[in-house]
Amino acid sequence: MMDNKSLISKIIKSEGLYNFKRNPFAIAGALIILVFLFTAIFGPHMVSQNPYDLAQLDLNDSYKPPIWQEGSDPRFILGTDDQGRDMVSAIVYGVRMSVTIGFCVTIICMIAGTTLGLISGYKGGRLDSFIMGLVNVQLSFPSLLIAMLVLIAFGRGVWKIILALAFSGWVTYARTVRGTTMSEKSKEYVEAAKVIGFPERVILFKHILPNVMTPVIVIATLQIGTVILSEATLSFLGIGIPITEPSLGLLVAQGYIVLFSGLWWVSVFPGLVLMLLVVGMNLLGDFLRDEFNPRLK
Amino acid sequence: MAGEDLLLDVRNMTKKFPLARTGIFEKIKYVNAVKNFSVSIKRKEIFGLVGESGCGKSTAARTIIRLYEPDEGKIIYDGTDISRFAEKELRPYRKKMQMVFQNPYSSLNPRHTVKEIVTQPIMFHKLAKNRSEAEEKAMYYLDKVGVLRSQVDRYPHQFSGGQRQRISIARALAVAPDFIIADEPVSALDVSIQAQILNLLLDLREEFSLSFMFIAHDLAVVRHVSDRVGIMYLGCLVEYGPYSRIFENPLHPYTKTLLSAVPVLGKRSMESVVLSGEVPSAPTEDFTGCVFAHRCIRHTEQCLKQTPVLKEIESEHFIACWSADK
Repeated sequence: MMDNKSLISKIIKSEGLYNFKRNPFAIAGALIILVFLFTAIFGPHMVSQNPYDLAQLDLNDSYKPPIWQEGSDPRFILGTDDQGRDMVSAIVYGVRMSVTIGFCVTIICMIAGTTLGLISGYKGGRLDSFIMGLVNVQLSFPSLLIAMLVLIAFGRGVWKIILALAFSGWVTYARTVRGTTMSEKSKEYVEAAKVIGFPERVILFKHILPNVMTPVIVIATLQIGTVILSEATLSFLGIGIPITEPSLGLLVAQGYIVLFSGLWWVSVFPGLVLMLLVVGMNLLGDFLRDEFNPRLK
Repeated sequence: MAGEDLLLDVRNMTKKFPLARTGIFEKIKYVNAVKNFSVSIKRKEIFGLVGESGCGKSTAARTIIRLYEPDEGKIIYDGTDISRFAEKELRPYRKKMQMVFQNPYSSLNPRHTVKEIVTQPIMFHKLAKNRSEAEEKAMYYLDKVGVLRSQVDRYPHQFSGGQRQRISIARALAVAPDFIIADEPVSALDVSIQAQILNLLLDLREEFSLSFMFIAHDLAVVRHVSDRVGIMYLGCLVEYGPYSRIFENPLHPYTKTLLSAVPVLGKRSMESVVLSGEVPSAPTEDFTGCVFAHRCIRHTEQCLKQTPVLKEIESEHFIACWSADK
C-alpha cells in the first residue's frame, strides 16, 4: 500500500516538481488546463444563458457584434450568432463538450491500448502477432479517415464520436506498452513474482503495469489536444456531434458560413479558445515527455 | 539414494532451447542448455553448483523451480514429481521452493515499497489472517535479514546492493519455504558485503531449517558455504560429491583444471593445468560423446563417441568421465 503521506512528500521533494517550477511553459500549460477544467465543470452554471434552450433565445438579438463595436448589446460581451445566442455562453458550453470528448476518448484509448499492449508484449506468439497486425493495419490508415468511416456507418452522436475517435487512437498506447512490457518481463522481479506463484493477471497488472505507465501518461497528455482537434475537424466537416450539443469545432463551423460578411466574431472567438486549449495541453505534454525521458535531458 | 531426509531429487532433467532457423525449410535445431541433470538435495543441506558462465547453472536452477518447462526427466520434490505440473497444481509447491536472484538491482519491483514486496507473498499464500498480521510477519522477516523497521516504507532504489539482496532474501523467506535456490546471490556485491550475505544465509539455514541450492562461479564462495558441490560444464554435471572430497581429491579432468586455477594462501597449489582452446557453445541435441572431450588432455576414442554417465566412484562421489583415474 502506498500511503498518501509518503506520496505527497515524495511529490513535493521530487526533481520533477523542481523542474516544473522552473519551466514557465509548463506552468502556463498547467494553468491553462486548470482554467479550462474549471470552465468545463462550473462554467455552465455561471453564464447568463443556456444557448441551446430555445426558450431563452430571441431572434431579435441575432448577430450582435462584440461589446467594443458599434451596435453591440451590453448583455453579449462577445456578440451573438444567427440565432441570437450569446457567444460567451456558447463557448463555455462548447468547451465543456470538447473537454469531455477529449478526456473520454483519451481514457478509453489508454485503458484499451494499455491492456492490449500488456497482453501482447507479455504473451508473445500468435496473440502478439494478431494484435500487432491490427495495430499495423490501423496505422496505415489516417486516423481521421477511420473515425469518418465509423461515424458514417453509425451516424452522429456524442458517444458515437467518442467511440469513433477511440477506435483510431488506442494503437499508439498498444505499441508503446508492448515494447516496454517486453523489456520489463525479462527482468528478475517478474521471475520472482512467478516463483511466488502469482497468477498472470496479478503479474501483469500489479507488477508490470506500474512500470510501463510513464510513457502512457505522456502519450495521454499529448493525445487530449489531438483528440479535441480531431473532434473539431469532424464537427467542422458536419459529421461530428449533433448541432444541438455543439463543441468548439461546431461553433467554428457555424460561424464560418458568415465569416466573410463581416460577422467574424461567430467563428473567431471559438477558434481562439480552441487554440488556447490545445496549446495548453501540448505545453504540459511536452514538459512531461522531457521529464520522463532521461535521454532528452 | 532415497532416504528419509531427501528433499529434492532431480533425475535426468534436460532443458533444450530452439536455435534460430537457418532456412525456411530447415528443421528447427535445439541446443541442450542442460542435459541429463541429476542431483539430490537433503534437508538442511547446502548444495553448491559451480561452473563457468554460460554452462547452464542458471537454466538448471530455473528449470528446477519451474520457471522453465523441463523437456525430459523428473523433478521429485518431497516425494512428488512436479516436473509436469500445471501452474495451478504447482501453487502449493511454490511456497515451498523459493529463489534469490543474482541481480539485486532488477529483482525487486521498483514501484513497490519494501514492506509491500515482502507482504504480497504472505497475503497471496494466505499465510496470515489479515493484512495487518501479514505486515507484522513481513516485518519479522525483514528484521531477521537486518532491514530496519524505519526503512520498510522506502522503495528499492533507496537501498544499496547488499541491502536489496537482504530484502530479496526476506521475500523468499516470507512464504516459509523449505528450499531456496540462490542464483549467484553475491556475485553482484562487494567482497566485504559478500561475506555478510553468506553468513546471513548460513544463519537462516540453522534458524529456519532450510535447504539451499547455491549457484556460483566463484569457488571461494562455494567453499565457504557448501556441504556438497556439483561441477557443471556445458550443460552437464561432470562431478559431484561432498565438498571436502571434491576440493581435496578432484577426479574429473575439468574439475582438476578448475581447482588448479584457484590460488590458495600458504599452500603451493597442485600442478597447474591449463586448457587449450575456447569454451565451445552448448552442443545441439543430437550430440554424443563427452562435452569436455575436445579440450581434455586425456581423452580417448570412447570419449568422442559415447556420452559418459554419472557413476559413483567412491561413496557419494560421482563423476561422468570415461578415462578418470581412481
